[in-house]
Amino acid sequence: MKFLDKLKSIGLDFSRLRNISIFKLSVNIDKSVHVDASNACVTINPSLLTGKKRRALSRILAEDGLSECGAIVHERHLPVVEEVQSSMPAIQKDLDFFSPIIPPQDIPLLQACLYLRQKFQAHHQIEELKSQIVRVYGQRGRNFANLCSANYLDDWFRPMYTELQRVHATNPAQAREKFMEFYSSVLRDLPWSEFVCSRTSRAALTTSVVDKMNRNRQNGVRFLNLHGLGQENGKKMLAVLPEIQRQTGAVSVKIEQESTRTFVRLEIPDGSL
Amino acid sequence: MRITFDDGAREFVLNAFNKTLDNRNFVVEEADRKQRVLTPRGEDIPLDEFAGVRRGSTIFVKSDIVSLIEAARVMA
Repeated sequence: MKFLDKLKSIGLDFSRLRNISIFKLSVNIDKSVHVDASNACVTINPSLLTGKKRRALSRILAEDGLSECGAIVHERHLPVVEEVQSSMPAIQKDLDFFSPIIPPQDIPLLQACLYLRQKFQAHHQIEELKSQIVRVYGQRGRNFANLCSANYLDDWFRPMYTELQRVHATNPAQAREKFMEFYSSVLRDLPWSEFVCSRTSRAALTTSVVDKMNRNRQNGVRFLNLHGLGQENGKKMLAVLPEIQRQTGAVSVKIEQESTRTFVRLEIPDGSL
Repeated sequence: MRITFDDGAREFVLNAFNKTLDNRNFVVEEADRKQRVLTPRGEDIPLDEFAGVRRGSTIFVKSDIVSLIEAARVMA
């Protein structure tokens, strides 16, 4: 490894170690170099190196360390990074399918939401992760995270693109363009679904669902999918159902209740206003 | 091999890439301390959200999951 060879050239020689799994920079050791052979870990305290060695280490770190290791990461975040790496094979298939057909700037969002979905499906707490996505991508990030966790990628987006590819078999560019219109509209407006948010009051939720259903009805769409991720959101959703049904004439044609999610499909019967 | 650092070594890592901190503890260019360093999404980076550096024209990583996933994908 060039990085270790270069360190050796400035007197930081770790060649007696068979391999190094962690090369750590820390000012919290009382000597310039500490080798923990049993954990294959080398710690260097740059502040205790001579000025010349410190400058050389700095240069080697930037030139060779980064290119060889791909990233230099704060130790606090290493467990997350390693967990993400181990989760990648499971989400790679979806990444490969969707990455070429969504805007390039959404690919990191897609990666994060697929990771979030994996955690959600494993019944882990996801609120903090979701908040981080929302901090970066705003409402669009919240919508994508919700859609992804509720399996819309597989249930709606993938079949839609497959169908568009079939219909526009001789014009793949048109299939992609039509898909992009669909994708952008769903991500922006969530026209056929409502995700119950913990901060939304019951009254506001009712108004939002009724407005959306009335708008959809004018466009000939007579259904809406309601999703409550988490127990509290599920309870809130079920509590407002009677009022929504009263105001829209819709009926619940499907109700699914699990410990972490509640789903209701509302449909307005033909013939009702 | 992983290269990591702790809180005390953050400035050493930043300095290695010709960056430093301004008086409000944001990551800035060493050569021009008025110039904040930005992520690819245009966010500035307060020290307590500085999570590292990744390959690809030397990109500075924040501590949110979106940024950490991008770092994970380029790590060996």
